[in-house]
Amino acid sequence: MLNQRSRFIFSALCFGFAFLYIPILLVIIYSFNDSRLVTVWGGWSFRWYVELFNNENILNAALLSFQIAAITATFATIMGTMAGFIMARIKKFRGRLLFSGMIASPLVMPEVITGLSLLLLFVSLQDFIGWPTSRGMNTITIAHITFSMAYVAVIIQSRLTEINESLEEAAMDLGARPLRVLWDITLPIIFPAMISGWLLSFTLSLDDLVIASFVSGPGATTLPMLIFSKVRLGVSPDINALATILIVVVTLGLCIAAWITSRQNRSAK
Amino acid sequence: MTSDEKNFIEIKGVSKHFGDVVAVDNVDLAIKKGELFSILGASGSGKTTLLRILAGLEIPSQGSILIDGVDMTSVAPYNRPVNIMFQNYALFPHMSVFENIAYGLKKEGLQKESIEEKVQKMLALVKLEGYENRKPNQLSGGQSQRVALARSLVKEPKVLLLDEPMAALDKKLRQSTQFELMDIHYELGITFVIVTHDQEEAMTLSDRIAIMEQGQFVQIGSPNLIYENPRSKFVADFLGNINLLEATITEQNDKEIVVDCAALGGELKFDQTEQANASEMTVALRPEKVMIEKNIPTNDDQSHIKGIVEDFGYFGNLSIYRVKTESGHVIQVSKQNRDRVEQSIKWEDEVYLSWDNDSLMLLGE
Repeated sequence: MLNQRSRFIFSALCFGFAFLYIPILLVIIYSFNDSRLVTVWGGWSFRWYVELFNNENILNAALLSFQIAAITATFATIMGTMAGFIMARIKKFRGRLLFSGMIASPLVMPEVITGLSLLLLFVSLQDFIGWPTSRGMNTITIAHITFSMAYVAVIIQSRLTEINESLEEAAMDLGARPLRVLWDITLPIIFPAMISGWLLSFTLSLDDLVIASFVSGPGATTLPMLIFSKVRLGVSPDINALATILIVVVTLGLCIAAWITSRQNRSAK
Repeated sequence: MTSDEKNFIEIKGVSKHFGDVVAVDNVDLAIKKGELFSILGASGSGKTTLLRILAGLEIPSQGSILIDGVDMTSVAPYNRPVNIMFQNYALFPHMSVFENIAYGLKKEGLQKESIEEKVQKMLALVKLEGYENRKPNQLSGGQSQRVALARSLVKEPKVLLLDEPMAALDKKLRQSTQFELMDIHYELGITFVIVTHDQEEAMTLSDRIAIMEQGQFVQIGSPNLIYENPRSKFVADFLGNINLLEATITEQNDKEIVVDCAALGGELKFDQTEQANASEMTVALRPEKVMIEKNIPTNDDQSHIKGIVEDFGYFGNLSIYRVKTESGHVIQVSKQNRDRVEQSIKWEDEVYLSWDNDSLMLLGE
């Protein structure tokens, strides 16, 4: 009876994982397909990878995406850390509830709404103060920072509430001024959380299609936007190769973030 | 007048409010140089808040703090000649034992060699030589406590504040650590202020104890004085075991007060200079000051009553009896087990209780 039940659970698990990961696996396998037709297997080959690296459009889009992701991650980490710090360490101030609500709202806001409202903001800013003069990399980066920093703020806040405040008080008692305490004690302890926040923002930015499509202008095409427009004309095999590279990058990022978090948990014990 | 005779720490009219809550209520206290002083109280009595005020981690709502004659009321914690050891030790998890202890010295801007020397001296003092490269998560509770102690002593503060220093240790370790702490205090001559809820700990460690209740001191004095002459029913009950028996004043004049105490068999006389303003009083009697025997006591100086053993607990070194007297009151008695024989007094035995009349204390509320 028990055996039967566990066999059922096991097969359900296998089916679930197969449903999630077989398509991804197929993309990876077909990226090495020699055939021009996506659905027909024509033997192993690296030709689509070679073609990919000779395609200037794709390389430019990839470069743009990585640049945006890196800038976004850095700024989102700095600003998100500050916001998380305030949420965790300052118990009472005017408008705290509003502040915390506004920090958390990008997490639940539909991307379409965020994208549309940011577009409207950028357009009216251009009308009133003449900036941004054109939409492109700068507007996409700003848009990405706004929603990524919410994730960082949540990560930092939860890490800071785990840390006993007496650590900071002890440092102050031993002769460190408040800024010194931040530098010597607080930042080193939350540093792993900041790294995982950075990696998370990087992946979020690299991954985003909807918001980028709204706030981008002519001439600025991110990788997801390029893939999406190419797929509309039919799936070409080089997209498989591109997707495989993206999968590898994102998986690496997530693994590093998970490794850092688990190490940090172990040292906290 | 030398500084040893002056008051080293002076707390003058200090209050601390958190919103509507009064944590510390207009407290005055003077601590002498080199004293080992305990603040004893239940949780929520305001003792930790007072300690944090001394450390500079809280600013008092009213009043002032003087340490070694200097007003410290609004001096920031990093500028005070005071160090605190936290209840949870607060060791920096990302630093080694050496770096933890050296942190305060580095902030002073000391030379590397003299930091090294001082840290090694501290490690020797707390018996942790060879542990300098361990991280805090590789230390046991007792070791963590020693590192925290070393870290707060290494700057040679004028005053060391300890917040529940033994609370996280198990009972055996606690006792040996108490004696080590007393040795360290004796060796360094630093003024110690300890906050604790553990009355045994306060009794063993301290030169003087202040008992705190609802943000105020109810009695300050040596452990011996407070134990034998508690000022109120609360203090008597808080420190050790005691029988508290109801009594009514029947007569009082300049020299004495006569009360009627049913539990102890009638009228009792107390020499009293202070007039009691309530007619209901409490007669207090420590369990170890009552003798328990099966035969009628023959000593004429002592009073005695008859009772039946209702309950009985054997602790090895002593036995505790709960005796129901003829009047129906229950009196607790403790007896040292001086002889290596089987317990002769058991449940339901008829016994006689006797005591010296000067063991009795008359207390107000």
